[in-house]
Amino acid sequence: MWLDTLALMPVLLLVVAGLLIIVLDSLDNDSPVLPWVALLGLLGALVLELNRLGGGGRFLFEGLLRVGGFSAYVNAVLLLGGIATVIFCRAYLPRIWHAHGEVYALVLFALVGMMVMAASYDLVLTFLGLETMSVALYVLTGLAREDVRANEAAMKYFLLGAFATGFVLYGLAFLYGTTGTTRLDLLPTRIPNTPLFWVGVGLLLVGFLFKIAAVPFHMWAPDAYQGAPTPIAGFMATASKAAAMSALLLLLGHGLGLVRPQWADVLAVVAALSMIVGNGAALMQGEVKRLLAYSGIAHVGYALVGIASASASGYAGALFYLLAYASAALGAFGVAALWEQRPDRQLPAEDLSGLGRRHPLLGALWVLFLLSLVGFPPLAGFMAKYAVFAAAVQAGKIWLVLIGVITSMISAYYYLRLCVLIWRPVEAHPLPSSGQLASGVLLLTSALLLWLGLWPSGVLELVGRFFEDSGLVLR
Amino acid sequence: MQVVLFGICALLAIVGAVGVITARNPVYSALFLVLNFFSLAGLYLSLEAQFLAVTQVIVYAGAIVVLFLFVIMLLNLRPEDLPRFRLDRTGPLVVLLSLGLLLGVGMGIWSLLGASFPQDPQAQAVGTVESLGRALFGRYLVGFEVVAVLLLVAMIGSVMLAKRRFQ
Amino acid sequence: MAFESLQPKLLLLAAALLALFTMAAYTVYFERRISAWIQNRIGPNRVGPFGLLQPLADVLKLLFKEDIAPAAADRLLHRLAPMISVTAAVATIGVLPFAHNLILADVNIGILYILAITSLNVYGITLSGWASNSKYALLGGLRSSAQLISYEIAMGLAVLSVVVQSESLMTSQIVEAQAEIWNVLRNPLGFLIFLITAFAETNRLPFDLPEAEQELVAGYHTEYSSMKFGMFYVAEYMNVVLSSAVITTLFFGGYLVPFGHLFMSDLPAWARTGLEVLSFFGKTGFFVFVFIWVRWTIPRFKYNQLMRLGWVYLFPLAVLNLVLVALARMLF
Repeated sequence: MWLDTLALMPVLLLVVAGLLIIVLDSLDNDSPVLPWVALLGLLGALVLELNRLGGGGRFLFEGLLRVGGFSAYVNAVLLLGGIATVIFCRAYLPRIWHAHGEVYALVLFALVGMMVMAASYDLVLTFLGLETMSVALYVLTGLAREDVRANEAAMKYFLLGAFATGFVLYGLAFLYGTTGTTRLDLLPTRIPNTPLFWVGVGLLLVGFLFKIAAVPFHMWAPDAYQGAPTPIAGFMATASKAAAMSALLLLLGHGLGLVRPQWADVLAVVAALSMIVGNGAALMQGEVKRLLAYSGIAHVGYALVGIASASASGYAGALFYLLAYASAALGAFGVAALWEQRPDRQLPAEDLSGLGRRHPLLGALWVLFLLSLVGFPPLAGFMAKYAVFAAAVQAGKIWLVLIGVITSMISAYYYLRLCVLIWRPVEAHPLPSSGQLASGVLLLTSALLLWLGLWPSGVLELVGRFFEDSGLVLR
Repeated sequence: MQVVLFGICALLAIVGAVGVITARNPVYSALFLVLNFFSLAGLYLSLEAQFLAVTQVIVYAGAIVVLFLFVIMLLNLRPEDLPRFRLDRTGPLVVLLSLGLLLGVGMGIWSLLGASFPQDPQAQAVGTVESLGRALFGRYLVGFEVVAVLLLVAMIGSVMLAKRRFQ
Repeated sequence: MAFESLQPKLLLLAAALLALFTMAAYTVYFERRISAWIQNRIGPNRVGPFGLLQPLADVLKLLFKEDIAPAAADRLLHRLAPMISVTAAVATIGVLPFAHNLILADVNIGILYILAITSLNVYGITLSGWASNSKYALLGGLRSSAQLISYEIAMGLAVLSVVVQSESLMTSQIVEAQAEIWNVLRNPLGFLIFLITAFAETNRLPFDLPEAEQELVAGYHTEYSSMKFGMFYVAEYMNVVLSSAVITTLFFGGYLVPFGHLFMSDLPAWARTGLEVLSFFGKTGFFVFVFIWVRWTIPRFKYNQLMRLGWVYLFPLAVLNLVLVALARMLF
């Protein structure tokens, strides 16, 4: 058992770093060391996770959770998100007068919840991870307490999130009642064909779809992102979605892998709706963070196309998509955070004008991130979309691919509009808050996007290895 | 005996739950919640889960609802201060969705009528402190620790939001 | 279950209830006598020999008083609150071992049951404060709920340290585990913490802020009269008696007779049981005396002192004690 505990070292590192931050913060309020402590923990955890990326997973605690392989990959994505978030927060929070030390601890603890979700093979543990993540994010959303919009965002997110949690628990109860287990490794052999079981699965799905902000459970996302501090919005849009998506993948692909036909079509409909509604609504947005929120909803739809294909290549595509989307979205939110100047923390699209001239590097990166979100070759977004669409074609869901391609083309309109906008000459706008570290992270992210787009085979092969050929069971 | 106990507890639990949402006075709502928790504790007892039953009373009835009451009394909420529940434009949609959910769940449960649930021979031993402790500090150790993190997060968050001065 | 098998239990229940009510009533009497003695007065000595019938007279008087409820009170809760108080107090006797095998219900979570029941005490007080619709009563109720909740944590931790030592949650086994040495000697810090929190949980001086006369008239039961007031009064003294009984059980060997192993085995069964019951009630009586004694010795805390003591000193101390006890358990 001690060995099992040691295998959880990355998570433990984050917990220890979080506790350390709390203690240090109580000794020296809002000390500038705190982000560095957080970064140290995150980097350590990232190294450990990358180290066991290639090997197969290993069950711990009598099958409660599994580290390495699948979870190592997802955790690496989450940790990347965490690192970027901490660095952006370090540049952004002092400007809105909210450089509280606790923020870093909360980000770390949220990551603990997410990483547990990605490793969990027991729905009870998944639920606990989900709650840890959610509670930390509710608080972070409402960070700017003096701002009405932040309060609205936190309140909406909290109330709806609590409601979604209720759905998850309700569904979990039915699942347990009808199968007698919450373990994903025992679930496949115990699936009864009673309506109550499917009611449970449905309720569970509602909860998870809420957390990843898929249509029709997406209403909270734009308001929450708009009210939250911008780097935190980026964190919510990438890491929390990746964690919930991986938990969904474990539940559907592993636990319910044998009854794929029953849920694949439902997910396909959700994916289609997310792509249509997300992209459609994004067309009409004037505020950048709202726009990015709707684009996030659309991208969840694309990733769900992979899961809805219900095949090994589809799952692998979804995993690849998570990484590609996370890098691009983190970058976009990062640039937005650095450029944002208004005291009410809004970033109307017009404010972007001047970005390209005042700060050419930031402008170029902004274009790169948005192009990747469009799915422009040779960037990561293109390869990711290709991967999920190819899987969907193999699975015979041509209509889904058609919707995906058409909505991608529509999305190009609003993304490109934002790209063009930044080159308009406006000299009045002050320089963005410089953060050399933040710029460095942005550069690294864009390099990742290019690498994933040009040489995707390495990562694609890696994520492909997590699934058996039948696509049934995660390895 | 057991059936009677179940019947009483289940009935009280439902009365409590309905009371929570129908009572006009928030203090009564909180008290109905206590009733509901006690009935749940009774149900746990009838399932041989004494530890769970007592914890239910200590944690929920003894601590959480008392704090609810505390806040309600401090705010001095009176029934007349509360807005009346009215159905507005979204009303029909709300009713429709709720009914749909109720129908779905109801049909699921209906389908189980007459189904037999085999009794787990080990169930008697599951509710004891010993077996619960072994599970919590063995297989579910990670979960136990994650709960610790979860509670810590809630605590840090509330302290931060409540105590931090804002400029 | 057949009625015959329940009969001995019912008999025991009746006896225990009788003993409890008598003790509570006479605790009132003794409190008045002892406080008089401490303050160099005489105290009640008119009704019966030495005033021993005073409690009876008090009860009769209360029964004949007019039952008043404030016009703006919440009638139902106003009536319910004293009942909750008494019920929560009485329910504790279910798991108290009066002698070897002389216990109403030896459930395997006995000590947690006691914690659960004491945690309900707060409802009686809080609700009476709110339902009276009077500022004094409300303030008393609020103070009390904050106080009870704060001290419950340290109390629970102190109880937990005893549980660690006796490796059981059953009250009977906690007593039996003290056959060699009483817990008060093995766990003095835990005893001290429990004693202090017991004072707070029973709203006794130096923690009687919920009914601090100088500030709140009579606190949560300001608006009560007649037997409803009497019920609060009885509940308070029953809580004193029961806290003493719990202290005895947890830390002073419960019903175990001191040095009993030297001569107990030679005695017939009835004598052994009798001695044990005597020992239990004797120790309990001593702690009731301590409760009264402290009341006339230590002045009342201020509210901020009360909270500081509870959260800043007692709570960390209780955690430390628990860790120490657990370490000692592991090493020895």
